[in-house]
Amino acid sequence: MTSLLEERYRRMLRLLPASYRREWEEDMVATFMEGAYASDPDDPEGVELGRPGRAEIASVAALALRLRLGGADAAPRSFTLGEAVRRVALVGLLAHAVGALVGAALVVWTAYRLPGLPADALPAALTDRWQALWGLTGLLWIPAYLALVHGQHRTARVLALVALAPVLIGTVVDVSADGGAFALSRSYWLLFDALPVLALAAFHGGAPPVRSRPWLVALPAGTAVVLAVSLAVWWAGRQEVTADWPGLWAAGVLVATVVHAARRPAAPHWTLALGMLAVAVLGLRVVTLVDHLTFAVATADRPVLLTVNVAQAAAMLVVAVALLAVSRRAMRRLAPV
Amino acid sequence: MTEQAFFILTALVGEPRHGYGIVSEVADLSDRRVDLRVGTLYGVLGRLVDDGLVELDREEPHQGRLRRYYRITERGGDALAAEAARQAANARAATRRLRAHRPAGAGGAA
Repeated sequence: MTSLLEERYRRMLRLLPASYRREWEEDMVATFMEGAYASDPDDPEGVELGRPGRAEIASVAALALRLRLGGADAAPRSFTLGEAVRRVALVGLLAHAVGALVGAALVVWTAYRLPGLPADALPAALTDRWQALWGLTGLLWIPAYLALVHGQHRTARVLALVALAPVLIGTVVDVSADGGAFALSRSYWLLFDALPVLALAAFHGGAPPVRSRPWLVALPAGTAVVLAVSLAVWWAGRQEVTADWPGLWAAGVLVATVVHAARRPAAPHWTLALGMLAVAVLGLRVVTLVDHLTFAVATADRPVLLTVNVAQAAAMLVVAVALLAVSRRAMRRLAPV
Repeated sequence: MTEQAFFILTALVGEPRHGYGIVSEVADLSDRRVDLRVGTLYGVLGRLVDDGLVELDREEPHQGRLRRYYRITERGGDALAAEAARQAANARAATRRLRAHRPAGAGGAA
């Protein structure tokens, strides 16, 4: 009869892909059970009532991650999924780094009262010295991104977690200070910011090296583009309506999708990565719009804002559905895990 | 070659072993420093099999289960010998330096 411990261990092994389990499960169970009995030879009944330890669970979870988000030596389907998640991590950390550089540029611009910046370009909070310093903690994303691009995966993970900490603290403080107003969009923002950090899990030992040059060029280029777009929109006096961060994200994903669609043959991992990003941005646009309609004071701009935001959400929906449908077909044609 | 792969290959030199046999042999070889978890063992073992460094030897029934025994291949032996030579050369270089720059007896057991 199967013991409780074995049942629990087998349940945990379901984390692994089915094809892998067919080949290895019985052997893994035999090895695990022998180790369990050997750890307490005087009490086999007690052993059979136990649970797999944390270290065992962690080792199986790490194996599952490695198999499902495959590295260079994995089967094509698992490799494509791994590459897509790695692209999400790279794009997400790039966006964090660009956001930090743009924020820092605006703080410096304001601090030295350089000409050319509209008076309200910075949120009121950031003109306070301590708030501005707090805002600069975003710069921590830059070394995290550079470490990732240069193949220092472990360092990138640690730095990204450090960079995420102020975001987490800021979200908790803001949500509790405002009595729950904008709690939905602030919580979603936190998840959105954490997404690339979670996606870093796909950069395991088997992950192929990243071609660093295009990603290094993307950092100053992205900063210049975002700064230029932000300033252009500010001067036009419409920053609230058209160029908030979710709007910039939507525009970025849309442009990237058009460029990607024009390429032949399209890389399947980019199709999937852009599809994932489109879903995340769609969620961001929808929750920020809902919270805005619920909590923000209505202004004369509201109809324009509503139209622009709905158009952005619709564009993301179309992009997400199209890209994910194409990826699904492409993934089916590839050999599984 | 990772330390885990190095010890797993070393454990298989001389005789084929089953999963738990590898875990306990690696613990002995490393003075209990390398404590292989099952997920880790099979992750590394799978890659060694894919690379042709380890192969299935036989399957044997044991207490109602089928034990799979693995053996090191010719290629696995060559890879392990090359890695052992590399590590030995590194250790020799470090020892030479230490002998030249540190007084005799320094750095030993306290």
